[in-house]
Amino acid sequence: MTDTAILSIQSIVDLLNRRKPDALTRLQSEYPSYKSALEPGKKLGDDSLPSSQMLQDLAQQTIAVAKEEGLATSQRIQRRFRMSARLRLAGAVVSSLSSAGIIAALTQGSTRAALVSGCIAFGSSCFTLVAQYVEDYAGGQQSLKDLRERVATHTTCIWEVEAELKLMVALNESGGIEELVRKLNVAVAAIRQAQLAVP
Amino acid sequence: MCHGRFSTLSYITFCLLFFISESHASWWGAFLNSGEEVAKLAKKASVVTGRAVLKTLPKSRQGAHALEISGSEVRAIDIAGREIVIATMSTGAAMTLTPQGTALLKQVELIVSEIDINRLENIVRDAIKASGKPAFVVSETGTVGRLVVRATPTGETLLMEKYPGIFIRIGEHSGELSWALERPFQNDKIRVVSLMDPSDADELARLDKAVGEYHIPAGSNTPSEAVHQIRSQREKIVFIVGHVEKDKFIVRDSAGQIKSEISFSELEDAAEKADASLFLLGCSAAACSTTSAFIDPVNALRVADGLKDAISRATLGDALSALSTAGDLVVSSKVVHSARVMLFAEQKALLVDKRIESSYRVLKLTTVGRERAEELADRIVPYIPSWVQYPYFAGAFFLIFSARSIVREWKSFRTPAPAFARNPIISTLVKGIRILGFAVLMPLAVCLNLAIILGAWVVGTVPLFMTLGWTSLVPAYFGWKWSRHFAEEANGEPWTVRYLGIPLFVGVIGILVAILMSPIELFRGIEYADLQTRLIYWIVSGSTSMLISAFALRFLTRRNSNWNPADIPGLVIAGALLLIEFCVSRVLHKGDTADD
Repeated sequence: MTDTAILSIQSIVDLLNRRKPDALTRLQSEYPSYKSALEPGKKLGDDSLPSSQMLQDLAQQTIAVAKEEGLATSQRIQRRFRMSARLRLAGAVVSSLSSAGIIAALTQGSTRAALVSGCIAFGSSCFTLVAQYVEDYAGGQQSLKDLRERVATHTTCIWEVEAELKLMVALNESGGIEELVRKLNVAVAAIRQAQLAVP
Repeated sequence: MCHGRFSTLSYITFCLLFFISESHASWWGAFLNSGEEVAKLAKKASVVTGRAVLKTLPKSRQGAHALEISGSEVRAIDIAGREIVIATMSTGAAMTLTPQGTALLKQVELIVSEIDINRLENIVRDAIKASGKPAFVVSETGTVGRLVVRATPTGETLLMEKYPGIFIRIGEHSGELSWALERPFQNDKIRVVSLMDPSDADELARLDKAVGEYHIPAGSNTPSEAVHQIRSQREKIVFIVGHVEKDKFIVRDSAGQIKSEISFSELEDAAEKADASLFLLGCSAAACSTTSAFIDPVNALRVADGLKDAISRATLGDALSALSTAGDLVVSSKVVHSARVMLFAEQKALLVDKRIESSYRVLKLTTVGRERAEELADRIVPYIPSWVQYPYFAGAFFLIFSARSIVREWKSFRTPAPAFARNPIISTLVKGIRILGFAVLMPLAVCLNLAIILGAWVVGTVPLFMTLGWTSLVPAYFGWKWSRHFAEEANGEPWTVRYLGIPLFVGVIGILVAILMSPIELFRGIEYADLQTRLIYWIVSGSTSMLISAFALRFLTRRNSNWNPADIPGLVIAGALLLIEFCVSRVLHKGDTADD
């Protein structure tokens, strides 16, 4: 297996295309020789290696949007957590009430009322199961907790990239730009993955 | 008589003597060979030539030349009809370019007839490389396609555009390929295996949306698992989407690190063992593989869109043309073998269906006992009224014999459910609605279907024959004519369905005539009338029946009419399936909106 890591900017370009298409068009016109690399969608083959200046411009254009995207995804996961907790609470409350109802109905000797209460208790326990599913599976392969932690980590990473980029611009150095863009691409890809896992 | 016998005998003897000597045999051989040559020339004369296409070119391309083989010479013809000999052929089919030919081929666009392309392959390939100008091929039917030179595992190869966006390698049997490409394309036969990292979330989501449950994400699997997955796709059309580097699919994560790599040869072997048609959908995969693949660089999102468009097409050729919106495809002759295997499997399935159908005919003689049905109803669903239960159970019983063909027909047009991993709730809902809808509706639909057939035959014939008498034969004849008109389309159906037109005609026309006759005083109490009055009644009612029947038949069998009586029972089943698919489409639509 070859160990050569290529620099991918696909997730960054896709993000810009989704959120700031004007900025992407501007970059495409500024760097016509990298037009293919700046097109949204994964190229299913080799691509040309971007220049340092282009990478710097691309990173500067993306960081603000990436931060917003990270925040929005984090909030979305939080909402999903709240929904699941409410579902679990509602299920538990209805379940306990209907269990009490079964006892009351049995003491009164009403089998029909006991049957109805039993059905309600069964339905509410299903609610709890749904809540459990939402929390543990979340429409993807990871649980909500994992996703929340991952999004938080990658959002922090974007902040770090922003700080490093500012320093790089201030020092007028572009030596580590490729590594910086690589980190940004990884963070943006992870956030997008989480976003699609929690629709 | 004797003379005739003698002449026949002498004729046979003469023929035997004629064949007996070697010289005569060689003479016959030469005669037959020349016959083949004549046939070839005749075929060539009937096809559209490059010369004919020249006249249709726009002004900007009028410098193009058509190449034609004439005897042992290759000639280039310009739009004015001037001919230049550009090459001569020796006996071993080796070609020698003339000085004018060498100069000309460096400057002009070329048009070649498909019938000559095999022999002119080298000349055309070198000309395209030398001039950098496009070249075109004219098929036997007169359609014009491109000729391009691309790197392949066997070196630089000339590829010919057979259908829009679909190329074949020169020298492959284009007739067999055409047959394979015109085979019906059933969307439940396709599988799209994506070899992409989960961080390529947009591309994976787009593929999920495009082909739903037929998408198999294999990017996180080990190479051996991915190969095993291909191996398990028996007789399927497998599209592999992924990032190509040289002759491998390489899965890279968002940091650009390699996660796994699978060589084309491993995938080709697995597909061959599974008798599956393989399509390698990665950038310029055709350069390193003899399998069907993209010729040039492609974008994953466009490939997903192309696949979405492709799954709704009727033939494999149409589907690949839709996919070629993402990039030009080269189709390998390997698809012919897979198409043959698929055809064999389909025929085998039809044979099984026929066997089940014949056992159904035997079983049709018996029916579900009322007591047994009541007993079943009481035991299984206590609160549902028996008038729903009886038809349900009767339908469920008969459904055993037709479920297989109904499900096969259903599969061919239904929209794929979204992949479970991407959208588990919608996927479960879609599958749940389908299973529940089928279980609830289909037995009732089958029962209604049988009731229509049986009801039409009983109600439409017996009572009317008893009231109208011989007059009923008139609409019966026209009903028979109606059924015969659509006999070809109803071929294979049982006779009760094939001739359903007879009871329908008798029923409708008979009732209409009885209503028209009822106000006439003379015909009241016709059952007790004398013979003369009865004769008058038969003549009047028969003439009226004939008039109305003739008009009705003319209307029902007019040109472009599709009023086939044998279709009526099928409408109930189709209606039930469409109702289920309508409910599914509401859920799918909501899922799409949520995704967007």
